[in-house]
Amino acid sequence: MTEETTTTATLDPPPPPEVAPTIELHHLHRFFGNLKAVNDVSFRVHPGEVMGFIGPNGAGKTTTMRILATLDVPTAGDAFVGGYSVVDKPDDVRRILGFMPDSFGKYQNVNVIEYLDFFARAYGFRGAARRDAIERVLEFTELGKLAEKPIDTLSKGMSQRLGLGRTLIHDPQVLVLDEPAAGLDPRARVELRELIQLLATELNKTVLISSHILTELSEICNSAAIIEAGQILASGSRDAIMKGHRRIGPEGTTALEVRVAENVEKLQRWLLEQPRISAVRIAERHARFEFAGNEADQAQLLKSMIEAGIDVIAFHGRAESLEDVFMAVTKGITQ
Amino acid sequence: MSESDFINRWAEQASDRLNPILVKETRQALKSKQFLATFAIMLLGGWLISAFVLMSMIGANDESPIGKNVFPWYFTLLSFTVMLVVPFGAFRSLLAERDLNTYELLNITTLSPQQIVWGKWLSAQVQTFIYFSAISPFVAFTYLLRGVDFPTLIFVLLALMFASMLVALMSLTFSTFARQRQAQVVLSLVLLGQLVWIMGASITTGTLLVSRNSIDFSDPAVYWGGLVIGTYYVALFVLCLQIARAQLTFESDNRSTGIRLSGSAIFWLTIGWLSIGFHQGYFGGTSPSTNLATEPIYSTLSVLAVFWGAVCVFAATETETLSRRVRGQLPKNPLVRLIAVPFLPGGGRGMLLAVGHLAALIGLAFLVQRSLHGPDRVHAMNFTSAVSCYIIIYAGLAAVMGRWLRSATPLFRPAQTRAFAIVMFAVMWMVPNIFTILRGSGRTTNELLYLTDPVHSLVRVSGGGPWAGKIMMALSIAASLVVLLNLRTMLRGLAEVVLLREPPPDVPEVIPDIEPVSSDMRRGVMLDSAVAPEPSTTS
Ligand SMILES: Nc1ncnc2c1ncn2[C@@H]1O[C@H](COP(=O)(O)OP(=O)(O)OP(=O)(O)O)[C@@H](O)[C@H]1O
Ligand SMILES: [Mg+2]
Repeated sequence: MTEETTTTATLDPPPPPEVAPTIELHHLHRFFGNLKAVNDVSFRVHPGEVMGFIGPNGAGKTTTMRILATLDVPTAGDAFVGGYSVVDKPDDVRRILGFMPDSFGKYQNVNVIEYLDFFARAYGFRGAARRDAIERVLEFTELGKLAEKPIDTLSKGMSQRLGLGRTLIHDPQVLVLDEPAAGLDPRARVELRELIQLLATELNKTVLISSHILTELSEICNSAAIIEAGQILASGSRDAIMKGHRRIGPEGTTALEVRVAENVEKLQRWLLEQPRISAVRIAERHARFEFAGNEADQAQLLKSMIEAGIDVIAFHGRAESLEDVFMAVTKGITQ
Repeated sequence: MSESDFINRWAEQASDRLNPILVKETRQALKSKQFLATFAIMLLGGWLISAFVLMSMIGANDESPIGKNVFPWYFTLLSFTVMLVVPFGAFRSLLAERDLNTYELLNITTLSPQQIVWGKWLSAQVQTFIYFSAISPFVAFTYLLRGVDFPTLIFVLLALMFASMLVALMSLTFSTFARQRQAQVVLSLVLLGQLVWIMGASITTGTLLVSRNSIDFSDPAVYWGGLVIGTYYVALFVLCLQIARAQLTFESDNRSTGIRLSGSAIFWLTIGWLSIGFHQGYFGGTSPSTNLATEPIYSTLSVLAVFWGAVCVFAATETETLSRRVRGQLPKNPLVRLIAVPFLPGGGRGMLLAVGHLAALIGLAFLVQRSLHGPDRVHAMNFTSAVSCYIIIYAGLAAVMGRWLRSATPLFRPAQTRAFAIVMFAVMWMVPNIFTILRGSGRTTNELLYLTDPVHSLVRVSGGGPWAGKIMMALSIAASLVVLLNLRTMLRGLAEVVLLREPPPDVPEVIPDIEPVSSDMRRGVMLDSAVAPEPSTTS
């Protein structure tokens, strides 16, 4: 079993379909003039589910999320949050939805606690309820120690925590997070991921989270929707997507990965010359490809690779990751 | 519980009732360098002026009252802060929310756009209040120096405070128009220029009033004037608030009704004051005068026409169909809906608003005309009708053009239509005049060629010359034609609201047909909401 499948096992499997979805997109369209930023997007997310919303730059993720957050209105179609239409009942949607945009500025001369206090007031919390809300968020995000720190001096990681805290101030049932991990160092990323997992598993919240850092999403999401050029290419539970998508290589091939000490170009040249190898993809110091042959053939392949003077340090079969699916279904369309 | 604890708790409970933005901004201001610096400059300036005055008093040996000469210095200091620093700060603070992307965060809270504007405005007023308090000891000092009239002094300070309140709101409203960066820079400069100008004007006026002691508080005209100014002040305040609110409201929400209602209020307010003035002037004396003082009536009507024309062009160029959100909020009673029609968003309903109000105005003018005798009565009636025709023609043409342009390209939004319409009218105005200049031989004798120049035609119409009748005829025909061109849209706009009939979209259909949302989907996740299906707009 790969590492990725073990991490997802800590999350509950997606709830059975009879539970009503908390987020439901119904043939959503959003056009900017002739640009079809969101073009017939439909999917559902259920309580306790963390759905990854994956797509290349300009795919329409932010546009879709802004519509969900009632910051924009669809050209056609509708979206429902907790059963409320974002077009007809924006006020109801706002009460139960927390939205974290991909970037937001920081007020000057405001410290952490004043910042949370302000948003608690803005959501209509009074007196003890307001203090409790702030307390709850400080505890959850572990920002208590920084309570008096001016927010424009917070580090990126702490800012994102504060942003998540602000999103949680009115204890929304649904969270829409637009690239929350962008620009975070690995440690901050892991911490943020743990917070988000907690929200879904412990508090049964519905989370829609966008990113193009696929490894990160595949670790926290139990379902995903892949969008490109405004259209959904695949959506559903992780396993369903993995099973359902068209394989990269031809039928009967095995996905292999080779890691080299240096000179990945040499490896690439060599791989491209081999007859049984297809779908070669090169990343920093390793290559992934499809190989048509049995295990004996694989052993032979490794041998000839070493004979060709390639400094192989690892050679192994590979379970398909979300990234493979992503690469398989997207076409690199930009608009 | 210690005393400070108690005070803290009390302050917190009190703050619960306040606008959240006010609380936040006041906290920020107390920590902000700009606020502290302005406050320090003010106090320092006040002390320096006072010290200077005291020194000069020691030197001088006459007992002449010098309060008059000192007051302008303090007043300038105060005007600088409350007419320039505070309004510009309010402008910047709303712009900053947009710049920082924090505006959207506010928007998705349960705060309404109106509360956001109020919060910003109230924060500005807190600062104004602090600056006023800081200057008051110095002003009292001025009074001790003699030479200033106490009621006048208080009046001037109050007037400055009210002026600063309105100017702060106008600056906030102004800032809601600055969406893009370039617009922000340009608008900042424009506003700064305006504010400097207003500040200069208020310093001059205030200083003059105090130095001349020129307000005679026993004259009833002062109170009448105050009443007129007061009503316009309130109306303008509400209008600004509505514009700012509309600017901060989503496109799919109702961004029109507030502006239409406050515009209509100013329209009727003007008609009301005009009627009172007319009544006083004409019947106020012992015997009814035979001559109508037409000049003030014409100029008031002209200003009103410019204002109402702007409201009508704004309303008539809106997109037609009601958004689903607005439809959902329509009153249930069809009769109430009928009355509300002209005030609901949509270009066709905008034309109904224009036509309705102007028809009422012409009707009134007709009634007035019947009660008069002099030769001016016909001219006044003509003037009113001609002005109304111009408004209908301009608003109606803009509406037709807007619909046509929108059907040609979806890139054309109402804002572009309005800008385009204004440019077009300006060109239409200039063309006959440029032609005249090119001909070099003076005006042609056919006055109808100048029909697109409203000032020229209105002068002819109200002068009652030989062409007046023909110009009136031409204008009426043009206005009727424009109304006819808009008739279908107006009727559709009426039917959409009263009969809840959805007109076909005025944007070409580019969206594929979408099957209606199944009831099962609308039920959503809340089990309790499963019982009640989403209220449909036709109920
Ligand atoms: N207000 C707007 N006006 C015009 N075009 C817009 C607007 N907002 C977004 N777009 C366009 O819509 C498309 C989708 O943008 P969107 O921001 O949703 O992409 P995204 O998936 O969030 O990309 P990224 O990963 O870069 O954040 C882009 O081509 C973008 O240029
Ligand atoms: Mg984005």
